[in-house]
Parts: sequence; C-alpha cells; structure tokens
Amino acid sequence: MRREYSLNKKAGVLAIVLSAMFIAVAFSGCTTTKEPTTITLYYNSGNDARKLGCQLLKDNIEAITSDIKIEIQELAWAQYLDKLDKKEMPIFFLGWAPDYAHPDNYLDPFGRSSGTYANRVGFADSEIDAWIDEAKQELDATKATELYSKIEQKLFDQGVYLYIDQVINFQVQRTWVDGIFYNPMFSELMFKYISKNGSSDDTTFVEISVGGPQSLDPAWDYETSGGEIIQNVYETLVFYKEDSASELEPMLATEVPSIENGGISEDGLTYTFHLREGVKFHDGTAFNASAVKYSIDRAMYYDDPESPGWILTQVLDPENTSSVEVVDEYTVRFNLQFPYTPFIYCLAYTVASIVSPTYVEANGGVQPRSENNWMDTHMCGTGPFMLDEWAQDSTYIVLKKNPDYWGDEPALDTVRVEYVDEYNTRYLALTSGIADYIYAPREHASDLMNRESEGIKVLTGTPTFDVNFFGFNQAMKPFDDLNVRKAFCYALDYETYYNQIQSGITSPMQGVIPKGMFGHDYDLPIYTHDLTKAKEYLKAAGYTTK
Amino acid sequence: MKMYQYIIRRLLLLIPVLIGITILIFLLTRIGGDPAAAYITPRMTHEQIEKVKEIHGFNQPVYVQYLYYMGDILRGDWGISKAHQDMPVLDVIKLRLPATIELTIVAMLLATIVGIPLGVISATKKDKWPDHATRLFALSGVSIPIFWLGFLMQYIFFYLLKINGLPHLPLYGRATAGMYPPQVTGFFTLDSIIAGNPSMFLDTIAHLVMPAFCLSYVSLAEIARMTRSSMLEVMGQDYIRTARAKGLSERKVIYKHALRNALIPTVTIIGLSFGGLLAGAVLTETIFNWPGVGSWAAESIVRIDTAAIVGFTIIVAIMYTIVNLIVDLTYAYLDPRVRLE
Repeated sequence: MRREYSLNKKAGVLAIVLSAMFIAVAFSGCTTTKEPTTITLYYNSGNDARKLGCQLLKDNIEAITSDIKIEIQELAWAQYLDKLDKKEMPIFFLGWAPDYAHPDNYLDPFGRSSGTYANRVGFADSEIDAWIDEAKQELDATKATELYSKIEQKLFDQGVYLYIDQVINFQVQRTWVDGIFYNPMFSELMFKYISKNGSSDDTTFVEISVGGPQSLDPAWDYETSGGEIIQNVYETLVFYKEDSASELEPMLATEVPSIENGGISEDGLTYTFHLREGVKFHDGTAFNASAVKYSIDRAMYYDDPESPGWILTQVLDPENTSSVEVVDEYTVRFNLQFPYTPFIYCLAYTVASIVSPTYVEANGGVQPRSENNWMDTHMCGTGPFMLDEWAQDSTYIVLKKNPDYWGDEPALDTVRVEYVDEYNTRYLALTSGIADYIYAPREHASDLMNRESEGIKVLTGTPTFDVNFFGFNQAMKPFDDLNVRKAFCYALDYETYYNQIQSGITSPMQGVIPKGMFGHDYDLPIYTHDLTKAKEYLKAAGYTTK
Repeated sequence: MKMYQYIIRRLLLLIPVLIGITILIFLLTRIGGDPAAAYITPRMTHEQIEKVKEIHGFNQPVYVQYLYYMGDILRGDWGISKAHQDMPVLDVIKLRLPATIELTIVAMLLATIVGIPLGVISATKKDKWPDHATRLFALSGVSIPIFWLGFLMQYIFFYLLKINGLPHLPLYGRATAGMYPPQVTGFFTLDSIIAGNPSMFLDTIAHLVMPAFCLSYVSLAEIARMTRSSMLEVMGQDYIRTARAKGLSERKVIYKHALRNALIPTVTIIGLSFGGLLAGAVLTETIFNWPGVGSWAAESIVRIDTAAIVGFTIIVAIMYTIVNLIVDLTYAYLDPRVRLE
C-alpha cells in the first residue's frame, strides 16, 4: 500500500497504520536478541512539511530494520534553537537561506568546524577548514570553484547532512500585474519594476503578506519582512541585477569594482567605489562619500548578536576609523582586514544601505550598542519609494513614489503592503481583486494553479536559495557511525517528499551550495531512495535488516 | 456596608490575586523552556548566546528573576515584547488593548441586546414557530466553530457581494488603510466621533460588524437560551398569575414582573461569557486581522515572549475581576434581596 503524505491526510488512518507498524516492530523485536535503538527526531512545531518529512523518514527506516525505533518530537521554534545550541538533538530538521549570494555563506556554516551547523552536528575536519579558508581569499574564480567542489564532495562522502530539497519559488499575483520576477536574493518584491494594467486602480499596488517588519532600520533589521521595505526605500552601492543572483549592477556606485577595472586591489584588500553624483536623499540631503562612511560605520557600531552588523564586521574592523575611507566627495574606499572575495556581495545586503546622515543626526544620532528607536519606524534613503505611513497598529505600510528619484521613474504611485496572518483571508482578498499579490504557502498550489482565466497567476519554476536538510549529531549515538548516516541518506523516499509533501514545487538538494548560485557543482552525486544500499550500510553498522 | 466600601474591598482583593497569578505564570513560562530561547537566532555562536543570557539576566536563579521582574512591574517597566518589534509591553498593551475592548464591548452589547429579546420571544411564544426559529438559531450558535462562522461570513458578506458588484462589508481590519482616526482614546468609534468625521465613523462601524457578530454568536446563543428557560420558570410563578389576575397588560406582566426576575441567571451568563469572549477574540482577531491583544498573545506564546505573556495575563485578570464586580453590583440592582457583603 502506498502511504499518503499529503497535508490533508486523515489522522485516523495514520494512527491505524502507525499502530499496525508499531505492533509489527514490537513483534519482530521478539525474535531478535538486540534491544532496539531509540532515536528522537526533532522538528519545529507549526511546520507541517517538516512534520511529514520526519514521519516519512521514520516510516522508511522502520520499514527496513527492527533494530531502530524513531520517535518524533516537535518543539516551539525558540526551544528548538535552544536545544540545537545545546547539541541535545541526535537528528533534526532545519533549513538555511543566505544573507549574500556567495558559496562561502553556505560552506562556512555547513562545513567549517566553527560554523553554525557544522559545530552543532559535531563535525570537524581540518582539511575542509583549510580549504574553506583558502576559498574565502581566492580571487581566481576557477580555482575557487575547484575548491568548492572538493569541499562538497568530502561533505557528501562523510554523510554530514541528509540533503533533502532546494525549494522552488511559488508566488501568486493577479494577471493585471506586470514586472514581478523572482530573484532568490530579493526580500520578496522590488516595486520599481512593477506596473499594473487593466485593474480598477493601476497606480496603487497592494501586496498582502504575513508577519510584518521587526524594524525599518537597515542597520538593525535582520529578517525579510523589513528587508522588503528597506530594499525599496534605501539603496546600496551595488545590488543584484534584475533576476540574476550572481551578477551585480551598480546602484549608488557608478560601476561594480573588479580587479580588471582597478576597483579591487590585486591583494584583494581594498575596494574602491566611484559614486553617482546628483543623488539626493528623501530629506534633500546630498548623497556623497561621507554619507557612505557614515552609514557603514553606523551599522558596524551595533555590537549586537541579534543585528546583521556581523556581515560587515567579519572583514571590516569597526575600531579602525579608516576601514571605510572617504577618498574624495564621490569616491569611497573599503580597507579589509584580510582578503574576502564575497565582500562585494556583503555590500548588497540591506545592512549596507546608505542612510541620510543629517536625518539620523537630527533624530537621535548614533549611540553605540543602542538601538535608535526613531530609525526603527522612520526612513530616509535615496530609493525609488519613500515611507509614507506605517500604521500605528503595524497592520500595513504605505510607500509613495519618490518624485526626485535619480533612476527611471517607477510606474506605481503608491504601494501598500498589508500583513494578514490568516491564509483564507488573504485568498479572498486576492480572488476578489482587492489584493494584487499575496503570500501563499505552497500546500495551496493546487487551488491556485491554472486559474489565469479568472485573473490569478502563479509564478514558479525558479529554484530559491532555501535548502532543507536533516543534521546528524555525530557526537551522539548512533550517528557517530558513518554507516548509519549513509543508511539514513539512502532510506528517505525523496520522490514522495517532493511530490506529496512539497506539492512538487521543489527540487533535489545537490550539495550545500544551491543551484543557480555560482560555484554549484552540477556533477556532485545526489543520494537517492535506494533501500538495497540503505540495508547494506545498516548491516555494516551491525544492525539486522528486514 | 456602603456601596463604595464594598467596591474598594473588592478592588483590594485584586492584589493577592495578581501576586498569585504572576507567580504561577512566571513559573509556567520558565518550566516551558529556557526564556533565552526567544532571543536566539540560528546564526549565533555559543558565546553570543551566553552573552544574550547575561544581558537579560537569564542565568540568575528563578526567584531572583521573579523579584527583579516584580520590582520592574511596580516601577512601570513591564519588559520588552519580542513578538511586537521589541516594543515595551505596556506600550503594546496601550496600543492594542483598546482594539480588543472595543470589539468585546460591541460583541457583548450585540449579544445582550439581541439575545435577551430573542429569549423573551421564544418563551412567550413557546412551541410556536418564533420559538423553534430562535432555538435553532441558538443551537447553531453554540455548535458552530467561530473560525468557520468567520470564513462563511467573509465569503457571503464580502466576497459574494463584491464580485457581484453589490455593497459589501470590509474583509478585515479595524478601518480602511489611510482612514484611521487621529488617536485619542484608541477606540476608533469614539476617536472618529471626536474627530467629527462621519465617513470615518461609518467605516469603523462597517469594519466592526462581522468580527463583532462572529465573536458574539456563542454568547448571544447562550444568553437567548438562558433567558428563555429562566422566563419559562418565572412565568409559572404565582405572582405572575396575580399580576395577570389584577388586569395588568400582558406587556407589563412580561417586561416589568417576569423579565426582571428572570434576568438574574442571564446576568451570570453574561459575566461568565466575558471570559469566553476574550478566548474567542484570539480566533476572531486572527481571521479578521483585528490588531488587538488576542492575536498578540497567541503570537507571544508561540515565541515564548515571557514579558508579553505575563503582561497579557495580568491585564486579563484585572479585566475579569472588574467584570465580575460589575456583575455582582448588577445583582444588587436587579434583586433588592441581594445584599453586598
């Protein structure tokens, strides 16, 4: 019998199947002398796809051996992270999304012994550490790519993680909207590209999303809800070009520095930017090199683990006043502590947005290690849109077109982003036409696809940079054994996960560097659902199989 | 005992109640897991996490943390709500409580104004069609899940009317974006009157209709059922027969003699249903995107936002105590035999 893993499955049926399996396991346990090993599998509550993924892995493993019994445990997100940090989970479900589009933003957390995940799964390999450090400084793209492949291959061979999937984008809009395209590095939408044609009001765009910004201060905010507003009101020196996540285009700079054009020094230690002239902030202040220095220094001042400032301070010394150097009115230079090739991408993250110095100084200024509450709710940048209103109850944000924008004039006069947590409410807003774009979880795909005649259009097909995986804690039994890790990797029924749990809107995860990012190795092997191999590895680890 | 002495004594009783509640909630949030968890992100290193714990005092013994916390509460510092943009808890309450109170009051008024007459009609027309209709209505009220009713109302009174080009109720929110009245009391109905803006007032009322009805339905049904059975009981009493015998009009018999006596159990139900309304507000506020304390509390629990959970609980306890006090005072008004002691 083929098990259903769709989200609206009947709990009762599941319970019966489970109890049948439990009895089967219990009975077969009687015939062997070995006590079954019990493993607890963790996921964060509220995430149904992860819950079903855990259930699937449990079924797959328990179907091939009676020696391992898996218990599934859900934890609230905060508790989950706490337990992760304490390294108390033998195996856990997690995901990762990058801050900047560079392989290092994956290899460091996943592979380096001090990295976020490697450290928490107890993985340490001095050879990989050395390769990652070498790659960080390698200016030759070909050589760097070779290093990435070597690291990826070794992570694969060591079975450090069970790679599950790299999610495909899923966005829903009305057909009267033009100019929405997907870039994995955008925080949702860039409104300057969007236009409307044929709705009742073509100059106002309404997006209905969930949650809401934590802060509108680029130096402080570290989540995508605020990131979306920030990337439309503030600008960085360079930014991702349209739908490309690897190619940067100049924004407030006049060109993207490279070794060829002399913008990056041969030793990779200095980055020089020539700035756009005649640009004005929303308060009328002129944009220049001192504004850049002011903004970057300000972001680095927040010495707080909850802020994104580390993206800058990992290479720029905040104590050194010449880390960001004003060369002349329209030239600015960054002096790095050591060569770090991803640096240019770090400057495309919202934390490196340029703010109006006169505006900040007039409203609280910069206090080291203390949040500027005014800047949390007020904005003054150079972008195509200006903050008009953040509703007192935080339910919506209104942006108005910047009439003095230096670039092409946006088609929209007004953008309203509303935050509605209930999907059914958002769905009615979309179908009735009061919303132009909504956030829809992918389990609703079948309700939304193929409805263009009704004016509803789904955008999908591009891989995001979001990856999902299981982490094996090598410091805990039985995952200290490579054979057990490999057995788990071969046991998971990937196709069922992709098609039933993720509604087919996903793709295999091939190594930690995602498809679509430079440095991704399309020749890297992928684990498949192979029960023969899974059983072989389990036997090698000393377990009996069915 | 004089009325004001009674009120003061009841209000003083709030103090031990609140101390008990804060201890209980504080311990529960600590048992639920490490409070530092709310401040951790996956990217933090172990050292950074230790630093976060130190900053927030989470490495102190629990009773020390509680004493510090109570000291802060009395000084007016209720902590920071992680689930609400790191805003001080008191500010969040000040911002969001009026939305919940406004919704709850309108829902309670609706339940009372509609529920009591429905109960009376049902009792006086016992076993005739108005009785059957009312009983069916009341039965559906106690059986329909709030969220289902909410979606159904949105579908009919917003979606179906809108796509057919008819006047419709707003889908969600407290007011149309950009139509918020200038904030004075935080109650949009009052604020729009203060601002002297009739279109804002009508907009606010239109936004209140669906969530308020959705929230009131359960209480409305309970009130109607209780009024009906209580009326039926009273109508069989001797003094009603006497009233009729001395030739009073049926209207006077029902509203002056029967209803006043029948209302005592109904008032109890109204008081009790206030708790149900607060619980229902969590669901109703989510469906209709109503920015009150209910949706904030739900979010805070998910995020182990200790300061917010304790703050919310204190506020609810105070409101509950006050409503109970009002109920007790109403008894004394309705029935002179009840003495305040």
